[in-house]
Amino acid sequence: MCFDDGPGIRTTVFLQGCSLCCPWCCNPETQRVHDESSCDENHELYDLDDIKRQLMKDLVFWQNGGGVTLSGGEPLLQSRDLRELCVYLKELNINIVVETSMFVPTMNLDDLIPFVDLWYVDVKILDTNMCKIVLHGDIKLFEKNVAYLRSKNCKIHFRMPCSSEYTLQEKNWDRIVSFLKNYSNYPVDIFPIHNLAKRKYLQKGMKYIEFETIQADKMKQLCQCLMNNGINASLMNL
Amino acid sequence: MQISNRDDELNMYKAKNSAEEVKKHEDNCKIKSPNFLMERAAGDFEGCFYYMCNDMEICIDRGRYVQFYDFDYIYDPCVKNITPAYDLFLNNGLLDLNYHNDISNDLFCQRYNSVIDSIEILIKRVITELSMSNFEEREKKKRWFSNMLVTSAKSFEEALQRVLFLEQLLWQTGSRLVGLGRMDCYLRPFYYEDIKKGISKTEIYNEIVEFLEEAHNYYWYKSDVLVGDTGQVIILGGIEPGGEYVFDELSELLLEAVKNSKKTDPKVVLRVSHSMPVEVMNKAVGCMLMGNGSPLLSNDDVIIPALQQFGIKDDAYDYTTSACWEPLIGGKSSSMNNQACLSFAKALQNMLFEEQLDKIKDYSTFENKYFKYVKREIIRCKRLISQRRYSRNTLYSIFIKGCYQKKTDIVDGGAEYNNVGFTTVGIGNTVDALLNIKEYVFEKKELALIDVKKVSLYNFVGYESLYDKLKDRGSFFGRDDIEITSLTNRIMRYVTEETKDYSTSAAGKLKFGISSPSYIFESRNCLASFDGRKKGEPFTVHISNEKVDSYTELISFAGMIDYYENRFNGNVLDLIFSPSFLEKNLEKVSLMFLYGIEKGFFQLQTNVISSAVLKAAKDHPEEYGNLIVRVWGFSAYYVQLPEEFKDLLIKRAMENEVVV
Repeated sequence: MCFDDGPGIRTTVFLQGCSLCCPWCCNPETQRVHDESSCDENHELYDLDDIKRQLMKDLVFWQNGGGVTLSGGEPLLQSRDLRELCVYLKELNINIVVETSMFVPTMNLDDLIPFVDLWYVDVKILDTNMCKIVLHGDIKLFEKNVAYLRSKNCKIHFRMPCSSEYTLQEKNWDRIVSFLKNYSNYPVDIFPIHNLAKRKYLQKGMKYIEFETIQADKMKQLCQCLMNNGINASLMNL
Repeated sequence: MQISNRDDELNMYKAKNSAEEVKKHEDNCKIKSPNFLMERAAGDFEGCFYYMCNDMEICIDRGRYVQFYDFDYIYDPCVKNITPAYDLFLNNGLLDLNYHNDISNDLFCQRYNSVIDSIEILIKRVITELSMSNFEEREKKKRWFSNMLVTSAKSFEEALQRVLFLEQLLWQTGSRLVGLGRMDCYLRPFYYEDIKKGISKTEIYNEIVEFLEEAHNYYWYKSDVLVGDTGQVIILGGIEPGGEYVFDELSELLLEAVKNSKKTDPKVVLRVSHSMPVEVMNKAVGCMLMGNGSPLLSNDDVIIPALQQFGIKDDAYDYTTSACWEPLIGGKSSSMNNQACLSFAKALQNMLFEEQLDKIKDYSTFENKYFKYVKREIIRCKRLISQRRYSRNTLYSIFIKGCYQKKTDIVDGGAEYNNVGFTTVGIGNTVDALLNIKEYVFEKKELALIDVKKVSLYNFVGYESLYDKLKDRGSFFGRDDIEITSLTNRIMRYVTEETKDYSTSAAGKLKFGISSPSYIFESRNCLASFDGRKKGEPFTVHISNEKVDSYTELISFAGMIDYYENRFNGNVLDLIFSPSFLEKNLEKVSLMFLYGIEKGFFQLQTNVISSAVLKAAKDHPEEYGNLIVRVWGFSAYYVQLPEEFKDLLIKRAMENEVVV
């Protein structure tokens, strides 16, 4: 159950596997495609029928715009299987939101575009070199995919995690502003990166970087800066 | 415990009041009437009451309402945890309630009329005291009390005075957990009459505010087991027989007044239904956000059919609750809904120590044998219930419908409904333990039943890694899995099977629920259980699971439990929210509760707490005197709670914050 992953009350499906490895990731247990350690007693592997069965328990809560959010990890890595789930949900007129970083083959988007009501797209590191080094991602692919979504008239909502160590570095910030100005019709939520996932990293024996807490005033300044550039920005209160 | 708590609170009273007020109070604490003591020793309620009404001190202050207590008069514990028929007293003069025919051969009627005579004496004394006072509004108040004798209340304010006066008599005569009933219903005619007369809503709101302040007064004196547990519960809203959900202007004013009161009581139970407007639920959640523990949501869509199936027909629409949450028909019920406590965990513990464990080869056999031990606990509860005796209570008999017609005291079955309730505790721990036993002993065969016994006996010593595993996996109870809910329902239905045919001496039936005040009291002497609970640690609080990361899952779980037959004596989903989460998500939480009604939860209450604040309050109570928390079914000032209750709330708040 979630209140923040889209309109209304939502049930979020966290898919295993991601094409990136963001240092601030809140769900590190979903990064690796095959990760048996994620299948501990609190996590289970589900096939499609299992997922449908689990999701339908929440059907009554999805009224008034609520529904299912596909997240992860990177849900678009499993777009082919998710297509079948989306077909099923759409037959029931269920609202579908996808949270994605867009670092996936473009053809994966085609699997889900007909069904998704809202795309939450992460905007994080757009500087080419930084993106390659930190995220292990190809920024050209990201830009191409976002443009593709726009060309298909998809409803896009950008989300930007703010970190002094990474995303707010000057070069990257300039790139982000420049990018978002090109998509000024689409809303952007910005939020400060937190350290709430630290426990998960430590439990999995993963290296954890403690992030500086960005104060509320600074966040307001950042938001105002974006708005001054004609970008439809809001502060997201996590 | 009750007396020592009162002593503590009297000391607090002394700390807060002037020396002159303390001396006056101490002078009052000398027993004045030897006749009262004699009559009390003889078990003569009417005699005691007569002396009290003639003698009790009446100190009238300048407040809007007349209210006074004389702590001199200490009655033995009597019938409690029920709600009188306030409408009888609001819509009639006291003398109208008399038997007017020849009662010379009927002892009950004579006692009944004598108590009314005594109340009349008291009322006339109040009028005299008012006459001697120089208060500005004394003439108005004299009219109120004169009217009390011969006619109905004539205004909303006057009606509230009658509620306070009747309530006061019940507290004064030793009753506890006196409910306030469906205030928006029985006060409705007076409210709309006042509005027609041009009295403003603001003025009426102020009347309510002062009423709540008066009702909260001396809450330490009114408290039952723990300070704050007064049972002054106001029922608001509800569906009518035609299916319409009613929550009107008066309901809104009452809820608003409780929300803004920032006191532990009176508290609100809001009756809800899938047909209620979302705006009403928004108001309810807005009230919860204040952190005073109100309202508890009571699902008419589940409870009314359950009551009707039990045999309560149209009156089911008029249900109120006992002090915590147990449904009963206010004004017509003698149902004391907390007459015994059945511990599912104790039954399992007994089985481990008495049964020949090596002969049990499969889980099904184990579960069936477990039910034998539950049966033993049921027999104990029945025995306790059948042995309970209460002294007659003619005062309550006047204000509980049925007694007049039957000419029978409330304790002898005079009320229209005489069912009896008991609570159960530890079902969450037991469901978890049984499922763990099934997995570790019978499926994976990693352990034997003797190990389960040893875990209990040695408090997990020697089984530390098992303890860590059980703690890490978290609880099953509260997860919307069919195996878990099926087991929960099997246990509950077994209790029904063993209790449904029981009849009390007053031809009442038994009912039970899976919420209880005893999750700490009953756990103290319970050994470690195979759900990761160590010896003496509290049981699961009602229906809750702070490690489930989804409120919707908990709500779904609660909706999958079968509350019918006699399983409706309180089944509360107990949710923890951090203040920041609830504030940020108020409308979505409100929707979630609305949809939860459709899912079929029975009742729901919230604790809106932050572990940081609770810890700070524990360390510096002097700075957090007004911090309110929810404890079983009432609200309390956190700093006044025993330490183990404080610690449990901190633990639950922390678990909730980790998950959220």
